[in-house]
Amino acid sequence: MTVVLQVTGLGVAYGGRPVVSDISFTLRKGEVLALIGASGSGKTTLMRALLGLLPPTARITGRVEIAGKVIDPTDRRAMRALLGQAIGFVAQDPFAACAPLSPVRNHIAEPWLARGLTPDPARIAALMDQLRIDPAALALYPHQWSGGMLQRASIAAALALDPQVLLADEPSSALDADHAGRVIDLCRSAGRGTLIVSHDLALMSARADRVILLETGRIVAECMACDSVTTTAPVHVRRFTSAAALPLPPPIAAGAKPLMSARGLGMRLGARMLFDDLQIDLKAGEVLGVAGPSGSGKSTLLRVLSGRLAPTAGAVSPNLPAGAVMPIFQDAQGSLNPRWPLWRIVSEPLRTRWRDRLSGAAHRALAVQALVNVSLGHLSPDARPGTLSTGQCQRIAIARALIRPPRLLVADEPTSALDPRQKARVIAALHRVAATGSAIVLVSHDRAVLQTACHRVIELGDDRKPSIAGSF
Amino acid sequence: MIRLTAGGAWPRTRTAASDGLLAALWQHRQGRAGLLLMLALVLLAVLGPALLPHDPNLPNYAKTLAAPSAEHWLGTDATGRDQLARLADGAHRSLGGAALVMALVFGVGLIVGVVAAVAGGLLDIVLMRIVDVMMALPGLIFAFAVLGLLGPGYLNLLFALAVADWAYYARLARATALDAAARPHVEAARMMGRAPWQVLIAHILPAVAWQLAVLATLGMGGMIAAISAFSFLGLGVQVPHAEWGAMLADSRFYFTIAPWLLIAPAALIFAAVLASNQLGEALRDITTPEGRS
Repeated sequence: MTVVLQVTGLGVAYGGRPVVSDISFTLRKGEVLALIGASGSGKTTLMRALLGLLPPTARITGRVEIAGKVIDPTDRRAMRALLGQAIGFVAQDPFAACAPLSPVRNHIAEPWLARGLTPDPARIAALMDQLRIDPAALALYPHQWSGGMLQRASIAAALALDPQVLLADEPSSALDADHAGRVIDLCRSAGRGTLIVSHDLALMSARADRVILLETGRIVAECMACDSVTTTAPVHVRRFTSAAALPLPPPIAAGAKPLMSARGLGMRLGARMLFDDLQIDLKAGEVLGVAGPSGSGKSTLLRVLSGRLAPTAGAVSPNLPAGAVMPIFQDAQGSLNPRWPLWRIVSEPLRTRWRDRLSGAAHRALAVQALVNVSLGHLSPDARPGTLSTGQCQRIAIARALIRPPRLLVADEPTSALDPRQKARVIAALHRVAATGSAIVLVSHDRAVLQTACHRVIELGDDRKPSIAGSF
Repeated sequence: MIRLTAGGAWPRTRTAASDGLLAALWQHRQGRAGLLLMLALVLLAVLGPALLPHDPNLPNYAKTLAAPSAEHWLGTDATGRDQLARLADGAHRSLGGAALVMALVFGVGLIVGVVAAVAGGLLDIVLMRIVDVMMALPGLIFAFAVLGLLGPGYLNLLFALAVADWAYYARLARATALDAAARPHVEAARMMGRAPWQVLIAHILPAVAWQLAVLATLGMGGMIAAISAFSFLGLGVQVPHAEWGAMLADSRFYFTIAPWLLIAPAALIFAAVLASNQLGEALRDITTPEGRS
């Protein structure tokens, strides 16, 4: 098979400090190569180095060939001719990748317009069809689209001019398994070579051809994708995947009391029925998963269950008092006050009642203990959230729930931005909260999280009738 | 349950934020420059009048427009008054006046903006339309109008400048408060059962106050210049009192024969504006949580 991308001895260093070193691999025609590794292992740096998108302070060494021709990623003028035409790129954050003031149609037409060509309506229509996007939605603006739809639009833009090489940074992080599989098949089509950075090991082992594992900026293992989750995988890969193994939820205590029950719950948004006639019973210590495609009302259900939004039909009883429900948000960083030290953030639930106030020293001591309980004992309680990774921030938010366990914890996509290892740690921290007798409702698009880490899963779907899947 | 052991053992790490604002400013390059310069000017204002031998308002017609000498370090003006003594005497009117106006504007802006954001509804609409009207009028022209009503004078000038400036701060305070109130950490605080006033004091007010403090420090330079400008026009400090802008105004008739009369107050105005801008920039870097590492 023809080699479309050959990388030999690639290294990136900032001020003499190597970030990525000695990277060599080949990408053949029609091949999908998955790049995996923990966050901070250099996956995105490697990809941006190949694209010439690193700042001028980066020192890039090594040799990159595209279709047999040596290219110089630091030569911006030469790269401009290649980007879009020979190399396609799908950026990690679809919202950041789309200009907010112009409709999505312009974003997809940009590869043509950037080189003075007329956009090809037939090509756009074909891409929209393959990615299952309604062409009428193209006239809308990015904020009117869901993250998953925008991600597919970014992929359409990257594939517009049919590049030989596609570099994709987490192209399926907001997509369910069906869409993700379709996206990867489309990348593979037309004899393209595709390099995908992904956190989704299950998807990669099923759909990619080969897997490269990066650790601290070096390739430590390479194997066939189908072997990556088996016992024949190289030891580094096995260690990586086993660290990503999700823990099972703690058993529900035998005499656990029912916490709340919802009867005939329905939510209508304008003319649209989000969900209808839902029956949910929650016991103390139970972890309930909520699944469903994007836009099916998962987050709305959480708001209803936590009493922040009144349902249009049915009722939740009993109504939990203020302070009995604790939220965990997808935006982990945003859920922590950036000006506060960690101990103050974690101990905030203790300050809700003026007359029960403890001294600052007691708050601090309890906060330190809560940090230890989510395996963050090594952090200084005086650090600020800005210095932490997303996974650490998410565990800080969980430590805050743990310091005064709520009756109900609602978690909205708490693991979506995390690498597999961080994901496992966040789930373990959530289970610690469940072990204190709190019920947890966990919304996720990640099947593995729902199936392994929850006692039960309810499905919100197009048929509007939820089906109870998988019971412990 | 969580046990009350092992806690407090954590050594408190000394960080910029936990050490207090002054230490954080001192560690910042521009902040240190601004602090030193501002300290020098404050020392001039506080110690100058006590230590300097000459009376700033006593004319000496035997020694008019004298060049800098051992006795009069910065020379004398057209009526023989010591230039250095007058600069020291005028310092509190320029610096202190600007600080007073900024404090007034900060307080009024903070209260109006946060009240509008928290109350919402009709009160918000009414307050913000008043702000719109204020912002539609050019600030200096408006200050002229207020001075026209009240008559010239130093305190009237400070009041007029505050009236002309508060609307900008109210607008920013409202926007910052609305932004802060929509953050997930504020929603989290509400859901964990904190009372509305607790959310306001713990989460919203600090965010607004820091934003306004940065703007006020940056605006301080402009305020010093504005006080000087009005005094230059004769609408602020009245004779015989010294003020840097007024001194600059008086010196313009003699600058070909006595340029020191022009250079010294201009240099001090420049230094004061520079110092407060440096402090403002440093404050912005320190208090922007995202920019901290």
